Amino acid sequence: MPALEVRGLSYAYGSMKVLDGVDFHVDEGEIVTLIGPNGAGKTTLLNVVARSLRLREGTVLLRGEDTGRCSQADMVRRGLLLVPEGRQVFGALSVEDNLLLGRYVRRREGRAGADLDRVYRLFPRLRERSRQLAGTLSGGEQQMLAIGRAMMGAPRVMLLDEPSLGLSPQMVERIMDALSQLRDQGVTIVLVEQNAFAALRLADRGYLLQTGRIVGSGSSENLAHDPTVRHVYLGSATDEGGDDAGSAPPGES
Amino acid sequence: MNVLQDVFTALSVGSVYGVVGAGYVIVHRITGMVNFAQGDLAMAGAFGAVVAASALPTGAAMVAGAVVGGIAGLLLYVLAVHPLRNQGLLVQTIVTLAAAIVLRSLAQLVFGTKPYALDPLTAGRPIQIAGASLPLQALWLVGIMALLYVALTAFFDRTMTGRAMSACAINRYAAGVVGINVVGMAALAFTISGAITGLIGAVQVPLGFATADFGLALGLKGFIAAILGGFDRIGLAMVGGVLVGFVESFAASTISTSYQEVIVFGLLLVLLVARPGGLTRLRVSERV
Repeated sequence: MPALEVRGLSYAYGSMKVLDGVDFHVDEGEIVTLIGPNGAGKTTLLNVVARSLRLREGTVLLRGEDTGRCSQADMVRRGLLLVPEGRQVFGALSVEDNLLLGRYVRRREGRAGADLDRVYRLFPRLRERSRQLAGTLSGGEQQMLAIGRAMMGAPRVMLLDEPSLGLSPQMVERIMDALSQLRDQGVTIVLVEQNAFAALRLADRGYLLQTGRIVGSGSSENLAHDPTVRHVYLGSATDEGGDDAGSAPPGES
Repeated sequence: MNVLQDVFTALSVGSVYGVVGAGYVIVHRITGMVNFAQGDLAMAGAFGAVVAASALPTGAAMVAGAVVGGIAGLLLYVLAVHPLRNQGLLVQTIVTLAAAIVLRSLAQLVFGTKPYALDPLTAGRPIQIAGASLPLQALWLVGIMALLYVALTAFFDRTMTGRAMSACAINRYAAGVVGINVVGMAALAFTISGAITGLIGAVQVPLGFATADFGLALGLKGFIAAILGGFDRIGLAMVGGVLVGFVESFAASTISTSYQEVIVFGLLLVLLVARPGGLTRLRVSERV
């Protein structure tokens, strides 16, 4: 039974349809990447699966269970954690407070020490900066923090939205390495990336999303050599963006 | 003119404005909107206490005022603000103006236009200091404001629910991502804000009476207090409230009581133009 299965998911902003009947699944312990150009609907897809946006049409199953009536908090409680685009850390709070808020849904489950320790083992840099305000961290450190915060929620499935955006190649390497360690710890991972070739190196399988539809899928090996993928990525160039701070949340004062 | 008397008056009315200002700040921090029915929530609390006082001792009646204010705040959120969640903050803010008119009109229908009084919490003659008199109820007002400051600060900094609300204030989207029920927190913010406003509205009745329309001016003065505090800090809004109290009471004694409101609201205009970000130099970039 897949850890996460999405069937016929559609989404529109007003009359603009951005997702049109998307189907994909991720098996337990897999890393699956959703690649696609700008505007393909990748971020919307993750936000609907995580219920940051409302699920209006389609089905999302977690280990075979329908989640149609779940709120965003319910999804977090069921172990589906989103690491959003642009990190979205709590800039005015310390690193450690950010991590503790990641444990919000599990606040009655005893002490946080062991959870913090697990994050700090994976990202020793965060331990060094635990008292620092999250807003003062570098882009890469904020990405570590965003992943660490999701780890505090005891994820079974982690959705990551463009974790490599705006990071140096070395930092991308470290983040990807952390993701593969997380997988070894039993976390199922869905990775949305524009940096398709970095994502395909890490992932077991991938889907190619274009203008709201899945237009291709297969093993990472096959996708990396797929003519459509090569056309999409080599034809329209990879847009890496340059926003290293990237913490400005949408619609915040 | 007795300066000390003006100071006493300033502190006592200023505490009321300060708590109402804190009510604005709590709602604004967590939801991003301004609740213009804030003053009328104080009025609801005051009349809640007046009604409850027919059956309960004064202290309990004032607590009842807080409960009424809290319920009114919650209903305001559930019935008016939340249903408009997809219309944006501006529409949600405008509906609070409508709610304020509805509350005021309801109060007028039920209670008429005459003023209502309550017994003070502590019976006794005002304290006389150097020719100025300080009613005991004024001490209660200042004390309750101080107590609310300590309690609210502890709540937002120390409890998990309070921290979750603060997280909504910093980044609502991210708060949702970690599994905080953002709608529940907004409802809680309206409830807490209504409760503290209702309480202070009730406690000021022995000094200032309760009338169906006193919420309008009170709400505007609390709004000035909140602006003075940068609309972000409970403590600063309370300080802002006391400042408004000082302006008002000194304007009344040195210029004219008939112009005191004009001067206070003139201050609002000046503030909105000159320092819309509050008296402190905190900028958004320093907060984030």
